[in-house]
Amino acid sequence: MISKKIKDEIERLDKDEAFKELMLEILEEESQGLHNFKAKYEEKINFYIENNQVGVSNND
Amino acid sequence: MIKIEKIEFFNYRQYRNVSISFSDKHNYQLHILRAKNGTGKTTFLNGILWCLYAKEYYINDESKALKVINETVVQDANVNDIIEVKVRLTISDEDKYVIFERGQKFNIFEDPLTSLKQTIEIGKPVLKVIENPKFTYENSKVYETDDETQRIVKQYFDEDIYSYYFFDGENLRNYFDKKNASKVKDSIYSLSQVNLLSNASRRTEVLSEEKSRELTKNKNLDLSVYDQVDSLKDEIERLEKDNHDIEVNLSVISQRLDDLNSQLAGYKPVRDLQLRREELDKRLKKLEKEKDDIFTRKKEFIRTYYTLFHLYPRLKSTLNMIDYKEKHGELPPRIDKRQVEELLENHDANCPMCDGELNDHAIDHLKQLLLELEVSSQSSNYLSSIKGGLENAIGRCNNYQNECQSLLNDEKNNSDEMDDVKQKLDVISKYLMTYSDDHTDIIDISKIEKERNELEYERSSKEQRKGANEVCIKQDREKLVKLEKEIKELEKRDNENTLLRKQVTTLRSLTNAFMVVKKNLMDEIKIEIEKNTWESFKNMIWKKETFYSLEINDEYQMTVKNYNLNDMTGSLSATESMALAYSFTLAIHKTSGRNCPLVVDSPLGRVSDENRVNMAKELLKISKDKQIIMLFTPDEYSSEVADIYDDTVASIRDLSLVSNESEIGKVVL
Repeated sequence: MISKKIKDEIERLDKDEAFKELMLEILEEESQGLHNFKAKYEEKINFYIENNQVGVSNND
Repeated sequence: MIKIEKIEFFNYRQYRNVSISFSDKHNYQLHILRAKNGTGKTTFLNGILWCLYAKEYYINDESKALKVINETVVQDANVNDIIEVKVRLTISDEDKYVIFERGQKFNIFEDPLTSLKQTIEIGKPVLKVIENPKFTYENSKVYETDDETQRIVKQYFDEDIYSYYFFDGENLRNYFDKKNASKVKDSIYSLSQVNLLSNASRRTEVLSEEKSRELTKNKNLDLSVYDQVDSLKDEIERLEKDNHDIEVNLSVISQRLDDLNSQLAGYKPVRDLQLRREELDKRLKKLEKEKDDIFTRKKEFIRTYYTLFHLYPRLKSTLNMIDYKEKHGELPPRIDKRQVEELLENHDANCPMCDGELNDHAIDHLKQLLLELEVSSQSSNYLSSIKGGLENAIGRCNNYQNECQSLLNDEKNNSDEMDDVKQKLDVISKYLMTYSDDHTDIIDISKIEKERNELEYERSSKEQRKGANEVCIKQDREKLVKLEKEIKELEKRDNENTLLRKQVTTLRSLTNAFMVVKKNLMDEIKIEIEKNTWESFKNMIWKKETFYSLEINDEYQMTVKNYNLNDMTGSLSATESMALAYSFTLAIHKTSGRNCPLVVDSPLGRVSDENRVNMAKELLKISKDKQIIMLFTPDEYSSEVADIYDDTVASIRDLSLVSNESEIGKVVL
């Protein structure tokens, strides 16, 4: 369970709802003790990219 | 509110069989235990610590301390008895009870010198945690592994800050120690889940760097490859069209040649020559085919002998080795094992080799042979089996010269014959081109032959061009297939690159966002602890004009300032230090998000006068929303304290020892 304080801080960020949801999901996974974080993170990030208009930064 | 419901001791030091319940419902959740010095006040605190952490932090020197088992129990026991020491702590948390139960078994033996009974520990103290939902016995959970039990202990009473749950009023220095401050910080961050944010930002950063490296490795799609494909397709189209035109031309030429050949064959004076030419043409075509076959044989010959000569030294040495082994009897005899077995099974028949009778001597010989075959190693059998192949290969090498000569002869014969046929055809053609007779006005043989010759030349050059075009088309098609495969690969990689770029962008945003949240949260926690400590401190202290502010730095060390903004933390009196330690402890409890109980030994020991009353009242006030268990000596529980607590607190109990001072006799309400 993610604390209310963290949820409030995330809510205050100037980010879209889907991004905030992604942050919470990642923290939720972390709180349950991740064993294979790369696969879990990639799965969630790719889902977010597929369902949202993710741009590409120019300084890659 | 999390509350200690009950503590049960079995054979633990002075607590031989003691159970103290704190479940009374009352406005103030303040419980008082009174005991003289040496009657088990600190042991009570250590008992809880031992139950949770298997350590007794409030023992002065653990190495010189008695074992946790009660001395009387040991002396009362029989030799070889196994006695268990157990402390059980039951807490309630909203809708469940959590029971922490630690046990340690001891074996009793007799010291041969003193005849006194002694003990030896059996294994380590083991903790078990049971979660029981309130009002039902269903869905109870038992945790027994170290990972599980430690995780639950950390949730309620993090060992790193044990002294902030089990407060020792006599050791105030602990609460201002640099090392402790850093432990408090770590523990608060862990309880407030700051660590989750650290982990998440670190991991997104690592992953983003990894993806960036992958992106740098992947080449971008080179668009010129599409131009190459287009120009190849154009070239193939052009060549195919050219070949189509050639075929149309060749068809016209063939028709005209057939027509001219018919004219020549129809004119009696040159008819035989024309027929002869047709035969020679057929022969030439056959020879050309033979030439192609010889060329194919030549390629195969070169390939075979290249390999054989390359391997020759090894083939030869292997064969020599096999010969040597055979000669020295190191290889099995070349006999069919099955045939020998059949002979032995059916030895009434004669020998199939010599037709002789199979007498006892022959049977013994066959048995010996079979034995030799069985004991010969697998590699020996293998060597025997490849010998034939090696001999063939070496024999072929020896035949190189003959094979080569035969091939060269065939090639020369073919070439000579082709030259001969071509020469004959040339002679015929020349003759016909200069042919002249009286019927030139009707049929001009020379003109026909010239036209025929030109058409043959044209047909030959067109066929050559067609052949060259076909070779180019084949090569271009191969190039095209290769390029199209390459494009597919590049397009796949290009898609991957797009995804990688998006992943990197998202991961970087996540890292930054987690770091921002982490920093804000850390600041918020610090400010909250600072504010709560300061408020509580002001309430406990009677001086109202001395202290101006309280600050907590990033390492969680406190500074109290006076109205001249001078740091006066080091000049605090014992009472003020105690108030500050209490205030900080309570602020930590509040910020941790879990309202855990506070157990305090000597709660007012260092406090006197007006501050004593203030602090007693403040702690009583706090106990409205928080369970506090206090351990007093009778002296410490002075009349002014009694005035405040006697009629208000949830329970007051006295602990006393039995006559031989070995155990707590009773807990008196």
